[in-house]
Amino acid sequence: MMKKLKFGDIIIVICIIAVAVSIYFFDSNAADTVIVEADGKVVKTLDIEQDCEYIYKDKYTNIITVKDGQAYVSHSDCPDLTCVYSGKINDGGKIICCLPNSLIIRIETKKSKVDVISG
Amino acid sequence: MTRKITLCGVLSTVAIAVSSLERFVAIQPIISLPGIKLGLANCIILFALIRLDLKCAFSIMFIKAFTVSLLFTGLTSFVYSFVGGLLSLFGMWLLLKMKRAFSVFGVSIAGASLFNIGQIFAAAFLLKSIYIFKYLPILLLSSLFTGAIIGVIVYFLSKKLHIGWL
Repeated sequence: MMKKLKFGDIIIVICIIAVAVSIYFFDSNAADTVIVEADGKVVKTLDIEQDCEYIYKDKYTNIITVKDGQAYVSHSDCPDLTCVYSGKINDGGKIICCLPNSLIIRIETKKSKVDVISG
Repeated sequence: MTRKITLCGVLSTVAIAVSSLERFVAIQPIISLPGIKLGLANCIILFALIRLDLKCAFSIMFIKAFTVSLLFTGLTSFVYSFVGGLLSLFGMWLLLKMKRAFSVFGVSIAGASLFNIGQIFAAAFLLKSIYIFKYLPILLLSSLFTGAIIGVIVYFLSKKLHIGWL
């Protein structure tokens, strides 16, 4: 069965890995501010160094906790709960999102603000 | 002609059944990514592309996305599924035209990753945020594996059913 692999297959796999790696390393520097976006608009910015809790209420309620230089969703009543299971983020390379609530939590650094993603 | 329609119908049902079964294997607490799934229905769709034609495969994809979202997940997830399925379908159809360069595994992996890419684009559009692309790296890596598994399944299916090519 392995003999059936063709040249194009390898190209595809390499392309996929290349895209994945380039997106991942695009902006993962030391953390700075936690940005909470709903429907594409920034609703709240928090300092990652300061422990605090922020409650966002829309269709559903999400409680976003910043602690020990990490941000995570500590509670949510959305039907999905992917946001809660997403764990903690501490750099610009990762995000947490709550799709049912149109909510995105990300981290932005002072050094590089991402305006456009190329490629 | 009727045989074709009947086959489409049967395959659609299988796709829905398989997709529903997938949902009961709850992977969310372990790998917490939206949109991560085994995508076994892509098996059916790829098979339809090989055995039937693009029109049939498209109808199967659409029916599956529509029914599953009606039954379980809701309208937004239909949009994600449809956009992903469309991109994946078109990509696989293109690659299948170049059988000299790509085997079923490559087509399947490409299909899986295109599905995820389509979903992310739809999510970026709906959530109006470019940062949703941050999910793409891990989704793409998982699509390598799921695509390979689907490719293996379709390979053996085609062998057993003596479908040409491969």
